[in-house]
Amino acid sequence: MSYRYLLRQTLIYMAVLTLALWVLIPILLIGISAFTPRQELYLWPKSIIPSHFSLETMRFFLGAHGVVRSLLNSVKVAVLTLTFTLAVGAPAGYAVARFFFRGREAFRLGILITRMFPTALLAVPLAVTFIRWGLYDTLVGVALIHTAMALPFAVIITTGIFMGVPKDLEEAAMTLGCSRFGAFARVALPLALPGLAAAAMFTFVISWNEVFAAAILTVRNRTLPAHIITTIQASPLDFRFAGGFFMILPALLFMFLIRRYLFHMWGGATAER
Amino acid sequence: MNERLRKLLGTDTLLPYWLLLPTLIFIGVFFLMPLFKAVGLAFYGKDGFTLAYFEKMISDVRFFDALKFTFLFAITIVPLQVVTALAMALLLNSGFRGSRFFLYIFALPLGIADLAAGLIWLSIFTHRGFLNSILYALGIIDRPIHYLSYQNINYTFLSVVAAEHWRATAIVMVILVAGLQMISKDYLEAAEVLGARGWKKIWYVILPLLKPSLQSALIIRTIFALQTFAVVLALAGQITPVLAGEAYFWQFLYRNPHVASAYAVLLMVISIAMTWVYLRYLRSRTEVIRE
Amino acid sequence: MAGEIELKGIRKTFGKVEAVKDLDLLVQEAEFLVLLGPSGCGKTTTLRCIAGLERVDRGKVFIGGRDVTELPPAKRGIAMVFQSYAVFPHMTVEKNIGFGLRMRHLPKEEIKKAVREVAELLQIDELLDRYPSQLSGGQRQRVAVARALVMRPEVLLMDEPLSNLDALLRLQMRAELKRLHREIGTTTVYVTHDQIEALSLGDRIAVMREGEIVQLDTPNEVYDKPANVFVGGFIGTPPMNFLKAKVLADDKDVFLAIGDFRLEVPDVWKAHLREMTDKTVILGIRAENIEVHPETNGGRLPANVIVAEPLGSQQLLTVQVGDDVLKVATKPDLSVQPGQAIGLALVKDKIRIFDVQTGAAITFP
Ligand SMILES: Nc1ncnc2c1ncn2[C@@H]1O[C@H](COP(=O)(O)OP(=O)(O)OP(=O)(O)O)[C@@H](O)[C@H]1O
Ligand SMILES: [Mg+2]
Repeated sequence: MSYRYLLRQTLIYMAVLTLALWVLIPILLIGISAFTPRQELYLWPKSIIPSHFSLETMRFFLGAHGVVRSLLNSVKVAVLTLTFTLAVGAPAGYAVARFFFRGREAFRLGILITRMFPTALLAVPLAVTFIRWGLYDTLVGVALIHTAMALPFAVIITTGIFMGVPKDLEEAAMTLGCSRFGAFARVALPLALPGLAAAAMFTFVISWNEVFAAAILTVRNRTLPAHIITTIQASPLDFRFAGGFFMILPALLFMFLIRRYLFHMWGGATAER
Repeated sequence: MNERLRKLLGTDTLLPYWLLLPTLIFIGVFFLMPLFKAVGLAFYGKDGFTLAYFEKMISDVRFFDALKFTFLFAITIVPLQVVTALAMALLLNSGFRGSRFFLYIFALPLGIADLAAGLIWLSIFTHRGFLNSILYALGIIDRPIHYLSYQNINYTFLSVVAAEHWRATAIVMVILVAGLQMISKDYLEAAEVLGARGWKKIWYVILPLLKPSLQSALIIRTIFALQTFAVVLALAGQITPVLAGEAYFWQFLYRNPHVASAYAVLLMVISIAMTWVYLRYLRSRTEVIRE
Repeated sequence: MAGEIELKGIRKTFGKVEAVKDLDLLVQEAEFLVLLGPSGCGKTTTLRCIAGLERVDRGKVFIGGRDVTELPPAKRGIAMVFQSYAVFPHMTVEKNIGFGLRMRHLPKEEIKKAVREVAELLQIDELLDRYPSQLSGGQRQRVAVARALVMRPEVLLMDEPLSNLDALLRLQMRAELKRLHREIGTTTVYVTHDQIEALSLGDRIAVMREGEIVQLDTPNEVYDKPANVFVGGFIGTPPMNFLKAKVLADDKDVFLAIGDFRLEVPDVWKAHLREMTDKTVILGIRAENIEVHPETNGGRLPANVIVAEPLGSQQLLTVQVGDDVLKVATKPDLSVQPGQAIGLALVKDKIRIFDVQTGAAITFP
């Protein structure tokens, strides 16, 4: 019995370790590539571990034309996106969490559908509209479609967050002298803040990673992924590796910070009633 | 005041609608409107309704390749991901020490963009990349293989599959783990009492109960796999064209929003069809559960 | 006057559910009124209408003579203790208790002093720096009460404040709430579905059913003289026994017939009861108002023991009388066996009769 148990545990750990390595090694490899001296990337045979680590590749990447600018653009678009998304989506999440009203279920269903919809494709018709509205090739324009992509997630996650703050607490505050808004601001908001921060980070990552719409809606004001993809055919390998590495850094960090909330957004698919 | 009017105007009746309003407006302007606009662009030219753009799309030399590869990717990647993710989820669910830690490791690629994933695997598959280096070090090959070239289109295809498989398994895993957590312990204990252990328990108890989650993961991934674009572009360039990539090129290079919209509409129609299947299936399930 | 509550014909519906139906209620100043009733009968909704957390569809709410129907909770001069306590998890006990006073912008020292006083009253002054997560359920409950009391409200509203405590703590807090009310004398409306709590705490009890008050009386009256079959059956453990009986009269006497058995009735009833001759009524009698005799003869109601349950301070018999089953409380040492035939004597003054159709008590002036 205990022998079999031991065998079972060993097998489980071996399987889990293998899968973990499968996930981690490519991330490690892009890290190595980004810090390998440039000419060593083109050597044959190439050793897996470079002779020494160097910042040369990263420096080249950051020094390349348009990179720093697109990097700043990416940050700006992501910040705009998370601002828009939370400003628009959080009140809806609050409404769904707090009130029973006619059309509530229809709204939730609509949100679930839009979450699955390939919203990025809408950049194609939006490009035409945006030219007319003067939003084409602007950061706000990109942020708007990113918001459309992130909004369903924001509504779903903020619904979960506000459901986690008991209604009683706000009502207690109201009996103690707060207005409805005062009760929200003094009780619900502080308690929801960690969750809202997670939603913000998730939104940031969605925008930071998005490439299709960003590439289609911009010409000169490119975000980092848009810049990389539009120049990819013409750029050297080291540029691409450094770019890949640079893209995953903040995303990995944010995803780690909000790991607890991921289940809210994805796990909810079947949990929704 | 009239009772009904009073009830209607009560702040609590209207407040939720005010709170929904921004979202509804936003979805209207930046979701529904472009949706109709896409259809408009695809079917209406200067002279009104036309199928010319679709004809142009279909007569393009790369169209059928794109269609073929898009579906090939989807039907290769999705099952691979579901199987891998299921293995991950079941392993994590067996509750060994440190399973939480591994859960977060497995979930890491969730934050990685498809473009970044393409670039990561480019460092592996490029002809002086890690794969060739390792194979050389092991003495298996003596000159690099060009995985990403027209000559080795099968390798190219597999490279893209490897990258997408690696990147998007995490989402499926998260959905399945969440689904497993929702399965009541009572069922599992009842199953054990009745003598179902190990594989039997997984096959006869867990999998059927996990079916809604599996279904939903399957279809979410199918829809997104059909949009595969940046991974392909980063790894394969134009070697294996895909529909989303064609939409991008028609818009971005050839400056033809009509044909680009035709591609977009085609993809949306496929996606909506999948969504419909998904909803239909999910609804019937929840109704069964409710009764 | 200050703490008087008056509800005039209030109604509250949720969709098709009529939670409160045209309810009238007058709570005297300094009174401890208990709203009692089964789950879903509208107790909480009534309380929330007083608090202003629900907007009534119709009717008016007065507190201290002031029409507060259109006022938000903050302006009604009420304080409320929630079933879940609703203690703010992100604030210390001190901040929790002082929250309402801070909303009133009182000076800091004054708040501190008031908080300390009320904390001492509730014996939680040691806990002021703790966060709710570091408190036990009973302590949290005290914080919730303190937070309400510190407001010196005209009216204190409590929604099942003890239901989340374990049995022993509940007993203790019940006594404490009674003491607090005696000391402070705030008008209190207290919701519960626990009839023992209601009987022990209330100056008066309003028994509710399906959105209406079916009886409003002192605990003793409600217990001894239920206004209808529902109240009798809801209050008391075991609930009141009910038997079908027929009013019979001859030249000399009026009595109730249970099967072949003739039950004597109080003399004052007789004149009135004679008018109801040949009608069937429901006879109600509480378990402790039935005496058991081992012999079946001699003007006793014959019965058969089904089960005998020793309950410590008493013994509870389940007996069969004709088609009806009764609960009878006896001394713990009375020895009876299941199947044994016994004779019952009903205490004449404790009998109630009810209308068969409406279930309403039939009373005689
Ligand atoms: N917000 C609401 N929306 C819809 N229906 C409601 C709402 N609140 C209460 N109800 C309904 O109104 C009726 C009365 O509910 P209420 O909460 O007042 O009962 P209660 O007497 O407090 O019961 P309990 O002892 O279970 O707390 C119930 O049928 C309930 O389902
Ligand atoms: Mg209640």
